[in-house]
Amino acid sequence: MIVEQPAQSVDPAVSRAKFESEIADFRALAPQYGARGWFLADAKFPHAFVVLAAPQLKPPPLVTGVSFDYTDYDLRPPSVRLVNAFTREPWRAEELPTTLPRRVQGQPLVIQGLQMPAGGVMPQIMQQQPLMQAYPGGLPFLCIAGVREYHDHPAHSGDLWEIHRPAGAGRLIRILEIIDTYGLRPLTGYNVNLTPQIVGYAQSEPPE
Amino acid sequence: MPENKIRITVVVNGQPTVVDADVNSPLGTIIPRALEQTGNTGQPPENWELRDAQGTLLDTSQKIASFHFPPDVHLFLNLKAGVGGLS
Repeated sequence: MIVEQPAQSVDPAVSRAKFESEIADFRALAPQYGARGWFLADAKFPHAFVVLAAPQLKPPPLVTGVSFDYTDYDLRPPSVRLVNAFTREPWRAEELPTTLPRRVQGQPLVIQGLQMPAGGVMPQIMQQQPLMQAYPGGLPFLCIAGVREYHDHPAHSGDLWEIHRPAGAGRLIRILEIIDTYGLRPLTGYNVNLTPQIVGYAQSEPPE
Repeated sequence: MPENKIRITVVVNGQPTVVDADVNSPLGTIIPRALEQTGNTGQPPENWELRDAQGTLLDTSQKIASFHFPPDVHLFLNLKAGVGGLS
């Protein structure tokens, strides 16, 4: 696997201090985050590794790991990858345990022949929009402002990191909150696939 | 502290700050103050969302008193996802 190594152009002491502030903020409230299923497993500049569980399920699963790379922070936003919580390998698109679907309003529904009263509003349908995006052969990435992969994408050249940086869009807790909101909290149970097999006949008590 | 006041710890993108509020005010009134105190500029209050310690989204139009917060309450204020997933 080829992993892009972004260059550190900011004074490393600056990025390190900001990274350590993120980690200290997490640790200060670690019991509260732990109750929600967030566990900081590893933190060594510039990398942080957080495991996310779904405590509302029985048994509670470790749903995903999240790998952060704060190289060159906060001249640049952090890189964020959803990874296997055990191997730390990035999920491929078809392996993702969740695509972080969000509900968005779709286009107005046009029904041929339907006459709307004056001032009437055409019905709209709700759609699901995954926040995890992927292209053929590429690793899935979290497609929101505040994430390096989003701002590096040519389609988002008009939505600069500098616009989002003052509000802390790249902060560890904020990104975990979004992953939790769209990926973990909506989980309500397990999908189970049972494959029955016929292994013989049921029969009543044998006659004498 | 007067009976109609409450001290709320608001964790803004991970950074805690303490906000004194009137229990008869809407919960949303603490958002601009928490943002100001933590120096989070550039995004208006409506672009943030407030959750309790369990991660439940709170209705910021409701009076603070209606939530019956305990004295050591922590609320979590985070920037919304915004436009995303449209690559």
